[in-house]
Amino acid sequence: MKKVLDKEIFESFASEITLELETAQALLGSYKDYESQDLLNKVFRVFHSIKGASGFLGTESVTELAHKSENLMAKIRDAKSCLNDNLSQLLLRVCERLSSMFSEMSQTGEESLIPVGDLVALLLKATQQDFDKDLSLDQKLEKRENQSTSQVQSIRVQLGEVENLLKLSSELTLLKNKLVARVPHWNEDHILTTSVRNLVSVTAQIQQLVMKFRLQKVDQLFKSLPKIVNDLSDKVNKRVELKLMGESAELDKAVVEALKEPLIHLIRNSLDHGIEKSEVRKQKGKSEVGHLKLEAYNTAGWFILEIIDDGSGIDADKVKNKALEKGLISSDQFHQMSEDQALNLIFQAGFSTAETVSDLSGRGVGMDVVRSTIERWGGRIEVKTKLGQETSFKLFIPLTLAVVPSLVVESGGIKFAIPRSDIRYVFNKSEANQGQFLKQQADGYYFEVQDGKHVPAILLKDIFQFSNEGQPSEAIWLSHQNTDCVIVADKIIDFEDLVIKPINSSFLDKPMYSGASVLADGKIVYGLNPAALFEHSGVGVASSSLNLESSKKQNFKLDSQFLTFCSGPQTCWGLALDCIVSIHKNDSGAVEKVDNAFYYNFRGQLIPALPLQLILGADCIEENLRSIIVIRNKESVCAILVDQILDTHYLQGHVQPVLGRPELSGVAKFDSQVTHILNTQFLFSKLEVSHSYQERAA
Amino acid sequence: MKSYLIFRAENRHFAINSSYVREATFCSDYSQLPFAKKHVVGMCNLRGDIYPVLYPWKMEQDGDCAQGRQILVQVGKTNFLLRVAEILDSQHVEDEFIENNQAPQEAKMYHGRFKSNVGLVEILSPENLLKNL
Repeated sequence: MKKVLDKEIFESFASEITLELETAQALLGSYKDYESQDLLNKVFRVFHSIKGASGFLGTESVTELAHKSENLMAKIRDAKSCLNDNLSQLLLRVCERLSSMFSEMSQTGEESLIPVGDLVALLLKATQQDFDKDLSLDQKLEKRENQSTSQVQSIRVQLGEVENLLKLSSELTLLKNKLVARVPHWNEDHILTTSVRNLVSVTAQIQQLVMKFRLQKVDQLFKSLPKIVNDLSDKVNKRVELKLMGESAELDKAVVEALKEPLIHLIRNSLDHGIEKSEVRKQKGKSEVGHLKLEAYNTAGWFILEIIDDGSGIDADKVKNKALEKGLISSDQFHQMSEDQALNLIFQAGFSTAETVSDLSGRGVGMDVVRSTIERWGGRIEVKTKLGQETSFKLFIPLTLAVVPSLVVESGGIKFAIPRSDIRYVFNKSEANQGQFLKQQADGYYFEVQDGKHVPAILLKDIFQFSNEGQPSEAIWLSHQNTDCVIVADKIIDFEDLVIKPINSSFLDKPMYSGASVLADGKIVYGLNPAALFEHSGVGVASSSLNLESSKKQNFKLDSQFLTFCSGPQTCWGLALDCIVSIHKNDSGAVEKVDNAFYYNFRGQLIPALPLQLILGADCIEENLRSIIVIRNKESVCAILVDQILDTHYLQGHVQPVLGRPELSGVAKFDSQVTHILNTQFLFSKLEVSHSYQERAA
Repeated sequence: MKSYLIFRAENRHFAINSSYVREATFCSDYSQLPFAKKHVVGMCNLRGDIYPVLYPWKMEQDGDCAQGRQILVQVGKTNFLLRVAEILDSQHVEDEFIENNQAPQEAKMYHGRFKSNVGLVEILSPENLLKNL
């Protein structure tokens, strides 16, 4: 007769044991660590813990299996020997059996009746064999003992309580917003103003601290991967070496769990369609063993996970052809589509068919689910590939899930929040003047974002079918998943940090919102979901831009590196390093002036050059232009002359858009210094205009 | 015997099983929600929590939805605010006095009716209301 388990005791042990088993499976799955005494100790500890827990639960078969495994580990450890393939496989089988038993027990609430006799017999037999001594391992054991003495003190807290704390801290942020909105009226009261400033600081600190409670090391996610990769590589008959980096990077616990499925999907795709079979790799001159690298790291409020394989890459043309064949894109779009846009087609829901997988040497099945999962957590995914060489998927997930920096706009009397991370530029009112910049084409609206460069535009009042009389007068340039679009709204309210709470999808016809939040005045604001908005409006893959390629987004959002320099009175400027070709000293004669146009002799070729101050509209320039920066865009190179190079920096936050400054991509802070980030496209347009004018004049 | 909260909307009388009712308050402003399903008129901030606002009756006069009372209803993990014109009474009713609705189970927003102190009332089924959004 099955024994009924004490639910409370079982639940208190079950989750811990499941984690312990995953740890053991991960350790045993990585052959290279067989000689590590650390591995022996860890696996020994797992079985020891399970034995203890099962003793409390009174599950005899589990206790017996764990006890025999523990004996085997103890014997190997005492003999100062190490694991081998057979022992490891046996212990993996034990782990799998124990997992099945715990899974059954958690479902039924009764003791598992899965037989263990076969494994117990094998464990006994293995324990009776002689193990060779490996005396060189003594020192390692000593080292481990020393390590175990310096443990960090900790307490266990229920996840629900942490979530309540997070909810309260989110409410505190809302209350702080309300108070801050009122402070200008009372700013004569010094004590109140100071108190509110302190409140802002303390609230931010509390929010960060509570978020930290929920953060979990990504090694929880990585633990199960060696075994998965081993199993999958056996299944597809390929040799693959897995390299895991950055296990200590942290991520919200809920996201760690949600990320598991998409990650396994990406790995499966890499092994199945990316990495070639040994013989094919050999023919291509690659190493016979394929490499799969997962690297996780935290940077500037983001968790980033890269999955890189050295397989065959994704053929963007094949992807485009397939999309055309399946009717996902028109023939016009087929011809206008850039490689990045073509690669993003793999995330289209229509691509997820078995036929796609067999026909394409690229990815496909379920990639839409991968992307939607990442986006559900406010993240994004980027794919890069070198045909025949490698493919990388880069997952960006915000660390702070609760607070979303947003721009609040209004249309038809309803307030909408646009995620600040997607905003590329906020046009001022005169720039957003519709007659001049907004053009209606047969397939929708387009907005002229720069001279002659148009991107699709979405009028919120049209999308949401508002019947307001007033003309929309604000334009916001968004860049989301390699798709650019201008949102046209009635009014810009303000930038605000919002606590976005999801809206139950059963109340919505379309997933147009990431959630809803309450503003300082108590009004509701809806967080716009750019992906759904674009899809609904036919922007992006389904819509062609007139000249989207040349208005592609500058990559300055996250871990981008910037060169800082000064030019003109007390101004610090910045340029993204990826658009800089080289930096030179401005020796006398390096820059020549011909008919009022400056040229720099760059590697034997005269390229347009101008002092930055002149580009920015100054009437005269100072004489101390000591440095020349050669910059490039897709088509050409040119040079700017500046006073002094300062330093290089990694971006530790967002580049904040600046209203009415087309020469700037925005402002950022480096070492407490506010830096104006130059818009390279603006520089190029000015240099081209200046030189074409001079050439025409000549 | 079950307890029902009896209310009026669009000049008709309805009842909801009290076990679904978390609280009843005066109406507060709601914000329209474009792309919402039918019966969902908007979202409302109730003491910092945001709830969908449902009005499942044909809007003959806007006043009932914009003013009056709102009932915070909980069905499983889903909460919503039901806008009504007026809350009339709370009444215990024996099952035998309830006349069942003969329409197919899934289709019926009202699963029965009974005679209350204010006259005949239709019993609103919150589950089916959510199913039929």
